[in-house]
Amino acid sequence: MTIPILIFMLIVAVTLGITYWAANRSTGRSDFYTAGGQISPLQNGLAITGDFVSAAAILGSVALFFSAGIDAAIFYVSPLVGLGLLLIFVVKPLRECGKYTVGDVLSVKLPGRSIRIYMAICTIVLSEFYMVAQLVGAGHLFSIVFSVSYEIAVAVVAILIMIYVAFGGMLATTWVQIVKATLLLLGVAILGGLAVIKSGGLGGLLSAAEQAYGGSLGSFGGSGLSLFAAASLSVAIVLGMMGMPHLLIRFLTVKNPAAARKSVVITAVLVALVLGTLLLIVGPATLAYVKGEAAFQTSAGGIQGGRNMILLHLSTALGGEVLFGVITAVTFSTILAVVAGLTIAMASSASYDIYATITGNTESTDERFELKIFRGAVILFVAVAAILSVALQDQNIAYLSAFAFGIAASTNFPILILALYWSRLTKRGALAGGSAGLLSALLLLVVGPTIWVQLLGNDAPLFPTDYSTLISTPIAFIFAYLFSVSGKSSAALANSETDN
Amino acid sequence: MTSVCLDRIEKVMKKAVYSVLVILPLVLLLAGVAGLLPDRVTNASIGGVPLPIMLILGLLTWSVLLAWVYLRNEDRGEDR
Repeated sequence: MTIPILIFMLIVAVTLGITYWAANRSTGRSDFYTAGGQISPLQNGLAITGDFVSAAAILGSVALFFSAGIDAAIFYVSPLVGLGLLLIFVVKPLRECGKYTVGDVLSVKLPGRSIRIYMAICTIVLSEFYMVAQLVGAGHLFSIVFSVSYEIAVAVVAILIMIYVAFGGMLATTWVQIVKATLLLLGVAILGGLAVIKSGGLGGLLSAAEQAYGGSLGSFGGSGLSLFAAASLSVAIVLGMMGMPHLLIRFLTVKNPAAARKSVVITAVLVALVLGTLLLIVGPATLAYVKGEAAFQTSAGGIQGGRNMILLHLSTALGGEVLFGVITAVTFSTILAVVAGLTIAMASSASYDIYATITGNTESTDERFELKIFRGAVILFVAVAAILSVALQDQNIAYLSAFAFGIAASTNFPILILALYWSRLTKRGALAGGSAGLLSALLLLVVGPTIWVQLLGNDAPLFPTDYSTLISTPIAFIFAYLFSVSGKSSAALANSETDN
Repeated sequence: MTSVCLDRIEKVMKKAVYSVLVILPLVLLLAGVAGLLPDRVTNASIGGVPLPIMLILGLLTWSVLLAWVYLRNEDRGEDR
C-alpha cells in the first residue's frame, strides 16, 4: 500500500471516529442542527475557515494563478472583504434572531410559512451548486490516489459524507472542520516552506516563477476577464458570503453575538494567512516547479488530471510521494468537511424549514421523526450532487463555486439584508425579489459561455460572461422594493398573514 | 429623543465608514485587473517581490486589522 493511500485511510478513520463520538452526544434537533450552541469562538473560527477555504479556494485558485497570474487575486481579496461586511452587517442580528437555520431569521422579521419554505428552497438550490464544485475536486483527487474511475471516486466520497452528517450532525461536521482547518494550515505552511527552501529564498522562487510565466508576475490581465466580469465575480464572492447558508448557520453554533463576532475575526486572520501564503509562495511555486515539467504533462501538452490538480503536482515536485500523500489527504479532508457543512444546511432546511413548517408548528413537531426526514434529505441531496458532479467533471472548480456564490448573492443576500435593515419589506416583496434574483442569475448562467457554448454546443453565448451578479443582485433588490411598496393594502395584507 | 437620534446617526455613520474602508481593497484590485494601474507600478518590485503582490498582501492585512478594530469597538460599545 502506498503512502498517499495510507494517509487517506488515516484521515477517513479519524473523521469516522469523530462521527461515532459525535453521534453518541447528538440526540435532539439542537445538537444535530447547531451542535447545541456550545462551540467556542476559536473552534468556530477554525470551522468557518475550514468551510471557507474549500477545495475551490485551494485547488481552483492556485490553478487560476498558474494560468492567469495575479488576476487570481480576486479569489484572495474578495473573501476578506466579504468577511468584513459580514461582521459589520450580518453576524450580530443573525445570531440574535436565528435558532437553527437562516429561515428562522426571516421568520422573525416576516412571520409566516411561505417565506421560510422559500428560503429553504433557495438554500437547497445554491448549496447543491456549491456541493457539485466540491465533489468535482474530491472525485479527481480520489481517482488519482486510488487509481479508480472518477464515477466510483465520487460515489465513495458521497457515501462518506452521508455517514458523517446523518449520524454525527453539526457536532461531527464542526469537529471534522476543525481537524481539517488545522491540517490545512500545517499543509500550506509545509508546502510554502519547502518551496522557499528549495529555491534558495523567496527572491529565487519568484524569479524562477517569472521566468516560467514569461513575464512579470505583477502584470494583470492574464485571466482575460473584462472589468464587468471581474467586478461581477468579486461582488458574487463578497455578497455570496453573506448569503451562503452553510457559512451563516455556523454563527448559530456559538453562545451569543459577541462570540459570533469573535469567530469572524479569528476566521479573517486564518483565511488571510492561508490565502496570503497561496498568493505569495504557493502560486508562484506552481509556475516554477510544475509549468513545463514533462512528468506532469499529458501527451497533448495539458496538465495530468486537469488543471485542478496543479497543487498536487507541486507537492510531488517538492516532497515526492510523502508530501503528495499529505497534501492530497489535507485537500481531501477539506472537501469532505465542506460538503458535510453544505449537507447540514440543506438537510436542516428540508426537515426544519419545510417539513416541520408544513406539518404544523416548528416547535411542536415530533423531533425523532423530523430527524428521520433530516437523514433522508441528507441521502437525497448528496446523491443528486454526486450525479451532477459526474456531468460537470471537466469544469474548473473555482468557476463552479463562483456560480454558487453568484446565486447566493442574488437570492439569499438581498432578502436577508432587507429583512434585517428595511422595516417596510413585505413577504410579497421578499418572495418577488428573491425569485427575480434566482431566475435572472440562473437564466444568465444558462445563456453564458460555459453552459450555452461549452455544454450545449452553441456558437456564441447570448450573455458575454458567466458572472452576472452585477445584474441579478440589483434585479432582486428592485423587485423586492417595488413589490413591497406597491400598494399599501397589499403590503399590509401580506404582513398580516398568519399562516404559521 | 435627540440623543436617541444622534445615537442612531452615529451607528449608521460608523457602519458606513467601516464599509467604505472594507471595500477599498477590492476597488484597488479591480483597478489593477482593469489595467488602470500604471506600468511602473505593475512592473516594479521590492526585494524581488512584485509590487502588486506586496500590495495585495497589504490589502489582506488591512482587512484583518479593520475587522479586529471593529470587533474591539463593538465590544467596548456593548460594555458601556
